[in-house]
Amino acid sequence: MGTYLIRRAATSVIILFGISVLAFYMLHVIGGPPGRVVLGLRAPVASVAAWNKSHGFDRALPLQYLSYMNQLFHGNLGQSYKLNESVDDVLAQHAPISAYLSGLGLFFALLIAFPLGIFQAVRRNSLGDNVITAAAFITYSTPVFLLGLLLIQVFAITLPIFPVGANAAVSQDSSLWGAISDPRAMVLPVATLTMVSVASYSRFMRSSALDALAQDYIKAARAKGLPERLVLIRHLLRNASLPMVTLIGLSIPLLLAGNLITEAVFNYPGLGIMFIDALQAEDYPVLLAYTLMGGVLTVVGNYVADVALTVADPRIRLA
Amino acid sequence: MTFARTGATVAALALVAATALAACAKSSTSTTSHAGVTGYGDIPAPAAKHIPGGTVTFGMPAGDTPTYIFPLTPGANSSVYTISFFQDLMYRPLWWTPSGHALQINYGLSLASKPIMSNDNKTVVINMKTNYKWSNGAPVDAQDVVFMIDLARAAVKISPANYGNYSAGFFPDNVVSAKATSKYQVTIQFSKSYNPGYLLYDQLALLSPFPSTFWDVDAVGGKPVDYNTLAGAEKIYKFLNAQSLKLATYANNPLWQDVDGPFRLSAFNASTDANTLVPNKQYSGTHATISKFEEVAFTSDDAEYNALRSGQLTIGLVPTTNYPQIPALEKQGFHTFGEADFGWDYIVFNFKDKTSNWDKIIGQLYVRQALAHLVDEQGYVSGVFHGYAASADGPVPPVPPSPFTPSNATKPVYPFSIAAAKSLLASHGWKIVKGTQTCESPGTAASDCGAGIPKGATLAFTLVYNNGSPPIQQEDTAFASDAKQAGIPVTLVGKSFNFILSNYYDIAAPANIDKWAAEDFGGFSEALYPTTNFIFNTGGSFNIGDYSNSTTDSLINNSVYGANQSAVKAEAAQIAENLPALFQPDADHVYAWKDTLSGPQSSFWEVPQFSLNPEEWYFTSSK
Repeated sequence: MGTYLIRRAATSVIILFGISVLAFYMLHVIGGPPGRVVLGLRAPVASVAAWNKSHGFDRALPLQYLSYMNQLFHGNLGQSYKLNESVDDVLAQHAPISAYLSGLGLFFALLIAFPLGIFQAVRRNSLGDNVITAAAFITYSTPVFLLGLLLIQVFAITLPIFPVGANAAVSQDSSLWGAISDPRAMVLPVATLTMVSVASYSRFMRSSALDALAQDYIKAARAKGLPERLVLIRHLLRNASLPMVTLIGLSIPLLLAGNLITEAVFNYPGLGIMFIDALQAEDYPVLLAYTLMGGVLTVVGNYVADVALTVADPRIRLA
Repeated sequence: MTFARTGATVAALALVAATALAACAKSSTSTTSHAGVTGYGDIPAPAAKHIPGGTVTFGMPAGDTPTYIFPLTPGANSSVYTISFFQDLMYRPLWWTPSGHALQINYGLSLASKPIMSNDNKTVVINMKTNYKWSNGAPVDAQDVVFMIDLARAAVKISPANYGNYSAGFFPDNVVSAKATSKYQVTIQFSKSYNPGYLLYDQLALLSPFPSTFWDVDAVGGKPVDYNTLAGAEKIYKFLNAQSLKLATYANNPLWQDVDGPFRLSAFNASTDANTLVPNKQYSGTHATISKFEEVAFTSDDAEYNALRSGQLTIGLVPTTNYPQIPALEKQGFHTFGEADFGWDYIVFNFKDKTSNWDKIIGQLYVRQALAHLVDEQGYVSGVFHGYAASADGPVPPVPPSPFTPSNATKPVYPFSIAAAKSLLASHGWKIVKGTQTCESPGTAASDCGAGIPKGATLAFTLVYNNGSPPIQQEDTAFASDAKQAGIPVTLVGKSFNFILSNYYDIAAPANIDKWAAEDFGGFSEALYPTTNFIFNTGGSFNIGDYSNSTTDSLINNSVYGANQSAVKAEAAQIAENLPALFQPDADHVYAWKDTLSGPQSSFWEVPQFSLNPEEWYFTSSK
């Protein structure tokens, strides 16, 4: 296992290096020096040239890349052109609340999806199974923005139960405490994310549970006279959860990658909105940092999923 | 100061986003006159009931928030939301514009009276009002203006990108000397003689006093530095700029608490740029009676509109996709007012593109006139903007009213007519062959195609449009459709605003000169003296398509350097006739506010012109 972990770590470094090269070159080759975009159409040519030079865009691309990596290894992610702040500060402001929103959405989606999937598998083809399946398809196929707007219309405007927009503390105070201190404001965005995610997770869980139900150990447990509740909890749940571990691991990048549409609809200043604003403004430092962060999280997520699998299922050995 | 406009969020202004929904009829057209006022909606007279206190919440458009507090703003941070809607509430420029929605100086709100020009307009004497003070008690005086000029010089010396209003050869380069000839009098010597209108509205209007006895330091708690030397001014500028990069400290930094405007900053969120301003009790003008003015940030237009509709905002911009819901907003009790800002949108021609003889073809005035006949402005106003726009046939639109509007701006110079376009081309030797206008009579006679246009040349071109702006896409699609009927195939190619700026701009990207024939990225907003200097003069730094016309050059020269400030009218009239570009409608900016908010009508008229005077607002109800 130790050898495996070391080998995976080395591979991860190579992957991350490749991501950095690709992201850097794509941005710079496709977009070109952003001085004109940053300063605007009316900026004189001399101003644009001065700005590009001061930010190193007059040098060859490989040199620019090396300079960026050198800066990165010293813990400096650069300065945002549009936001007038360091990228570290920008990420530090948006990442925690994005993780909080996505984390809550993931938590509640799993909390609902696990028992729901097991219920559907155990009661396969029953009325309950069919109703839940239909509901899952409806929520899964409903665009996120439509779901969010419907929830706002019903629960924030028609029945003003939950605050949204300017009344939500987190929208104007983007600190994590601002989000935590206003749980009512989190209900609708979390509900939106949960409703969309629970559909797919419950379907996976149902499918996995059906496979597990067909296994001999379930029949043996029932034959031994174990109460059905214990059969489901001790044997079915654990074994049916194994594929979900991989799924959850792959969801880790989403925790910080941001939920753009949800953030836009609910005025939630997370990483998704930060990314789109940076894209429109050709704010390269922010875009690069965001892409690299996504790459790191994906690699780490896979890593964690693989290790978690071996813990959950001793039969699996990493080599 | 002028800004480029995009369809998304850029440093300048909002272009509208049209809705795909079927349009609901507006209750009034966008150019309805109400007692001499144009624009959409009526502004009620100020209410008699006046309840002191209360918080006005102002919704900022998504992605357009203030990012720089020091009022010598770099190009990268120059936007109306940083300057007009944030800095100007704390640091008053010397002259305040507009006056209501009349595009002229409001001397009542200004810190100086009308400047006195002499010596062929090379000498300007500015007499400042004597009653204005900084919040630390120091008077706002002539030395504060000199200080600002010295810092501006230092900023552009370090980098031209440090001052968004900077153009080489103009302010502050053209200031030979600036002296405080008495405590409240500044005398400025310019290097050249300028047109008085240009000098006042485009150069002197950039002046803003800075607290010279408080900001003249190069370190926190440092001793005063001599800003009369360039070295000293550079040190001060670098320090103030560095302080302005620390957004999280804006509300607590004592530097930014010394203001001469009606408000001072009490809170600033570095992540969202949402901020709270409170009345400056030392302000020498009209004191605000509201308790707070909060600028609220949003991540999307939908979020902002939902907040407006649900009553969370006192006043906010109505996103263009929600224009059909304006009647519903009014039924809810909101007042609405919208007007086009002072500027224009246009399709730019590339006069240097040699591909398929385009440079020769578009160089012919009759060809441009024929294309102008294919621009259905009224159709765009009603179909694309649902009536919330005003026609504009030249660089000076008829709305909002300006003392510099030429006489030919009030009706189309080239009315929409496909027949007229076809007739014009036919009279110059073009004939539709297999659906495309083809030159059948090469030559230079009056009835020929024109110099350099060979027989068989076709009138067809590619139009690159800003695909981030649905209205631009819709306008250009309609234009291409009408052009097709006239036998002119127009191929539409959508590119991002950023891509167009970087690649299809002859001066900035000469390698691509032959790769584009026409483009539509958006347009410009004008300074109050609307000369197109830099835009349509030969070699102008913003002359994207290399237009060159000696008459235009001469008229622009008069506008900038002549003696008569009405010269800009002649310039605008000639450009509208000579068509360096095809002009398009100017979209309204519609604002909605609760009916419990009141104030002088002028204070609401000016909001679509990006000017805020919330110190004049008050609530009529405590709800």
